[in-house]
Amino acid sequence: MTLHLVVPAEIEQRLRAKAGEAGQSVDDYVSKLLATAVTSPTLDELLDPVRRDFAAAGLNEDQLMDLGRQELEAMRKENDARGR
Amino acid sequence: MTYRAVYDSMVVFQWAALPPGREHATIRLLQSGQIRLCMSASLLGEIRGILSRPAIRAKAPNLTDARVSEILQALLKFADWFDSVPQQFSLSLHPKDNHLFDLAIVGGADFLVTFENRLLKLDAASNPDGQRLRALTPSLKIVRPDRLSQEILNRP
Repeated sequence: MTLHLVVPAEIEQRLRAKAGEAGQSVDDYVSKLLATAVTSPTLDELLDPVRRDFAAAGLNEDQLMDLGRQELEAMRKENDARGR
Repeated sequence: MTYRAVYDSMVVFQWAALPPGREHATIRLLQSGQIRLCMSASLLGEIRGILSRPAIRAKAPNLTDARVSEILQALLKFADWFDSVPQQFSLSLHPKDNHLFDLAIVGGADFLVTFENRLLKLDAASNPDGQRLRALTPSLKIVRPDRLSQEILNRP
């Protein structure tokens, strides 16, 4: 597949610089960027199994958010105790 | 138009915790390019930390180290990174929240998005801490996640 793209001059300049840093032609560099973009899972795809786990845990939304708040506070206290 | 925002760690926790299929406006606004996140080591560490807590993972076995890293990598695609976040604002009763305000200030954020009432109340014009904050970052608005879309629509 051959694509023709129109990009602003500033982006072209950055693209050429980054491709140069990577030791690649602009075509190869853009092709790899596109491949990464379309094959990487989305946030929702990554989160979906986690959401199913939480749903199966039997807590309602308020309980889950309370759990998150409690754990955040506990983590902050632990970090304080460690001097972080 | 792209606005800049700081999402606190509970916003990201909510993405993971609420039921499958739930639309999260705060994610959609990132994907549409309407929001660009400000991110720092402190905030990213806090998000990683909460998603790594044993009590949380006991409820969600799929929340492994590898998956958390993937989630954070996906998140960072929508974020600008700030290496240096100088301390500029202090909330005396809740100093652990200071890093959020400092990131919003250095990042020139339009929004700080949070569920926490202790932070939301700073948005009131009469709040003294809020007045101190606005002296440092006049355009920052503190909003709940479910109000962010409307706030953007209301902007001129």
